[in-house]
Amino acid sequence: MHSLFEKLDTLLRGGGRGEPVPRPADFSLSLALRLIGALGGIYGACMGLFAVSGAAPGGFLQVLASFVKLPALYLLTLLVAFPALYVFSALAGSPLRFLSVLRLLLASIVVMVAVSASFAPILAFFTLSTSSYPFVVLLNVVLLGIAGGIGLRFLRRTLEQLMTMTDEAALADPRFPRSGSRSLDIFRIWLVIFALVGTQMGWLLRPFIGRPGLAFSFFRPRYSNVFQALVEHLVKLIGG
Amino acid sequence: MSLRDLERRLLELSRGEALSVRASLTTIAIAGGLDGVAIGSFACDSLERAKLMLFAGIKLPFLLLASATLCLPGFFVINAVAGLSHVFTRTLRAIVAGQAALAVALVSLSPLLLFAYLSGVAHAPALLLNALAFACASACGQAVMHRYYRVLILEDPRHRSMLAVWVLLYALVGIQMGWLLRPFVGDPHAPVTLFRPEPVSNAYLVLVQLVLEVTR
Repeated sequence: MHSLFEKLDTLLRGGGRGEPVPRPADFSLSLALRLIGALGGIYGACMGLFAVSGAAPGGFLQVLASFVKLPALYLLTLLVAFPALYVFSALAGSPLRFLSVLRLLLASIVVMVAVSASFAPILAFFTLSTSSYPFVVLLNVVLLGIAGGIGLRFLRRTLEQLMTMTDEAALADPRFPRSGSRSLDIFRIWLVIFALVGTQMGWLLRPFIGRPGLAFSFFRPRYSNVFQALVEHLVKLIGG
Repeated sequence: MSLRDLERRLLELSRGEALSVRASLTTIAIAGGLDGVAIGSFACDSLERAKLMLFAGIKLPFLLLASATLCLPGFFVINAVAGLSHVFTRTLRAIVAGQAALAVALVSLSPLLLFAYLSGVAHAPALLLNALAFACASACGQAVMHRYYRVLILEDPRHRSMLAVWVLLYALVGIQMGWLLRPFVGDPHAPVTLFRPEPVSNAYLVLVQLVLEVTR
């Protein structure tokens, strides 16, 4: 447990300026998965608290479901979006290998869930003291958005540093095409795709919070997409 | 094919090292087939609709190979006229590698496509998404082809225009071939068929109409 925190601490500090980049190889896959499960679960459980405070039927089941679903959200998003990134950057001549890219992405998801878990007390506080469902939904969108932004920024910076490092090595090897800048472009486009998929994935995995008055269900029937729904919530909150 | 195998193949493709024609062809067949199955899974809610996955899985590799085959004679003659036919084996290798890269890129995009299908995207946007995936994958294939061509261009700068000729020819034929071989995605309200029982039409005119319909 102690070493788990130590590694997480190193990873988070590595996201700051002036600190050495955490090497993806230092971060094993199973460690990353455990951290994502635990930290994501904490935030998820706090999301589910709204159903308990609203005394909705099956409220505690919602806490449990969100505990499982939030880490699943990140991992499924990665599952959907990762193949494209890997193949496109490999074809563009990126010297990064399959496992190192995967480790790096998992590490940045760890940063995301760590940031969101650090918001969990704030979320729990608001969730238990607010009865407005749209407010809680938007609060979650903002908090997860901040966490996602920080995670992606961490990812981008780590990758840029890695690319320049490997680029210097690659310059000596004439077989490598000019890889750094193009893979980086691909990566920037991919980040947008990752964010979009993640947002829509969250919508598919609903409910996380549990609308008051509705009985607990593990999934909701599919309708529209997340971007339409967000606008609806905003309109409801402003229009009362 | 193991992960290590796949990585090696991708690396060879990306470095412009000759992948054997046979390896390229199997890559096109397998990757194209897989992607066809993914494309055909749109609105798959019955055994009847599942047939589309099979049809598309067969048609997609055929689409890639047939378009390239149709363009090859013309391309060879243009090369010969320009006095570049003595390196045509290398040119051919570049073409096959580009096709393989296109197929692999398409497969890597298919999880995103399946996810969009799962999110309940409608038929017209699904078509556009597929067109977008094809455009991205084609760009990827082009980039790989260009890498094979780099040495050729160094030897004779006219190869640069030849590459452009290929792109034009292939795009022209490929788009119409895709149109003739449809349905790949399959309109959920139309009966499942291997080919559309409609008179032959022109893809370019229909595409313009589709874009207008979605943006309206």
